[in-house]
Amino acid sequence: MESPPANELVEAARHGDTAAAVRLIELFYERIFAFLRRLAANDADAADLTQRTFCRVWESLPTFAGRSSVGSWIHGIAYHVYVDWRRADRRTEPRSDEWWAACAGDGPSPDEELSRADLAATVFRSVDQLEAQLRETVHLHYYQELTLQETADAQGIATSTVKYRLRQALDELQKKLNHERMTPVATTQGAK
Amino acid sequence: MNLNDQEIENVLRSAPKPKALTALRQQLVAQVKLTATKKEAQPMIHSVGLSGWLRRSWPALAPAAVSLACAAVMVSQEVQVRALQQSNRRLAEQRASLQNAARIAPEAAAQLAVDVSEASAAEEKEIARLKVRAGQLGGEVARLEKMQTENEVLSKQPVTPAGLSAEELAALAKAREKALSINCINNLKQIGLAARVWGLDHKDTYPPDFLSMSNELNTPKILVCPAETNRLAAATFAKFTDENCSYELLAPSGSDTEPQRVLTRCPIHGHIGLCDGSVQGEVAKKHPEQLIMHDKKLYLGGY
Repeated sequence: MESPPANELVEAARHGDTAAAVRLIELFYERIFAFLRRLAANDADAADLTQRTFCRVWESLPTFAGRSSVGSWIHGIAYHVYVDWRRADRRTEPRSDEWWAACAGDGPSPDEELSRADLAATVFRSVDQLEAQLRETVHLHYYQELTLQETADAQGIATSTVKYRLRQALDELQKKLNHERMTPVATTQGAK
Repeated sequence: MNLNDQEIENVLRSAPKPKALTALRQQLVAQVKLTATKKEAQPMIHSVGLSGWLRRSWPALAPAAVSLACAAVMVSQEVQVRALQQSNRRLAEQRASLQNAARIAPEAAAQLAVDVSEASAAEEKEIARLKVRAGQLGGEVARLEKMQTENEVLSKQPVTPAGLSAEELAALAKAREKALSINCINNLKQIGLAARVWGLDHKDTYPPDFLSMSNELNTPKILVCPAETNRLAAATFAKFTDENCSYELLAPSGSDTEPQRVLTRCPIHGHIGLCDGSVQGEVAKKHPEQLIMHDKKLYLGGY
């Protein structure tokens, strides 16, 4: 649920209030950049897509009717910007593992946390291998912490579809994780 | 280690958040391009209210509204058509009646002329008669008005026996005596009628005494002559004695087969009641010679 100030900021920005627009940027640019960074897999593309997103936000301000929250509206714009960019550049290949490994290793990594970090990296990598629709839904709902309704608004789909996709994604992740765990064991046994 | 859905969700929710580039914020702020819009041009919808509901539902509501409008128009047209049909029917009936009237008009006109001539003669007679009657009634009204005026004058004058002259007092006493006599005759008539009613249940014979026909008499008071002031009527027939009766029953157990036989007699006025139910006034007093005794029975005129 969006807080009332965001709505008021949008309303002020619609009437040409630049300070309100700057405040909107401060409220959302980090989340939007993180969302696009996870999808685009590199900082330069994510920054470019973030700029495109906010440019489209300013263009779309007059048409914002307030039916959804400001957060889901901006995420929806970012999502469509990303989809357009991916289609234009035909970027359909999954991202490399290094970025997630680097992200997982950013925090403190004591020895006891090492296996947990490895597991998280495996999960994130598996998410990147999901089908595009499922992956984007997981990103919006889990990574961006949008509610089901906001995720549905951002993607322009029904809430029930969001639930279905998340259920499918979790099942796929279960399968992939089990497969990942079994494969090293078999290799180890085979090596022995 | 197997991960369940909850654990996977926890891992996903704790995903690392990429840090935004420091220069990105400045770039975004520099790229802000706002075009001011009028507030009234496109107001924000903060809540989905009635207008939003209408906006979403108009595709479904529009056909329904059109259908309702069509139905209303059809109903109004149906009403108009019915009214026109009724009007048409009335006009057709009127036309038929007019045609019928036109067909019979010559005959009716001739008949009407005859009727009118007859009616005019009769009316003239009636008018003449009414004029005469009106004149009579006018005279009557004038007389009544005069009497009313006299009455008013008289009613204003004090009426006391002491104020009356000897002649007036005599006339008053005479009138009173006459009234009492008429009352007596009335009593005898009622007694005769009661005796005949009693006879219907007793083989057409008359009762042996007055008490026997107590059921047929309305009240014991009619057995007392109004002129006999010193005799009191019995309150009820249970208390009735000979002292409570002024009249004589002269034909006990008689019948109407002897119509001229005297049934009852008033010793004060001399009125007699006959077996045929009639009453003859003051015969016994003024014309006693007409009463004939035969075989211990009294007859009027002859037997």
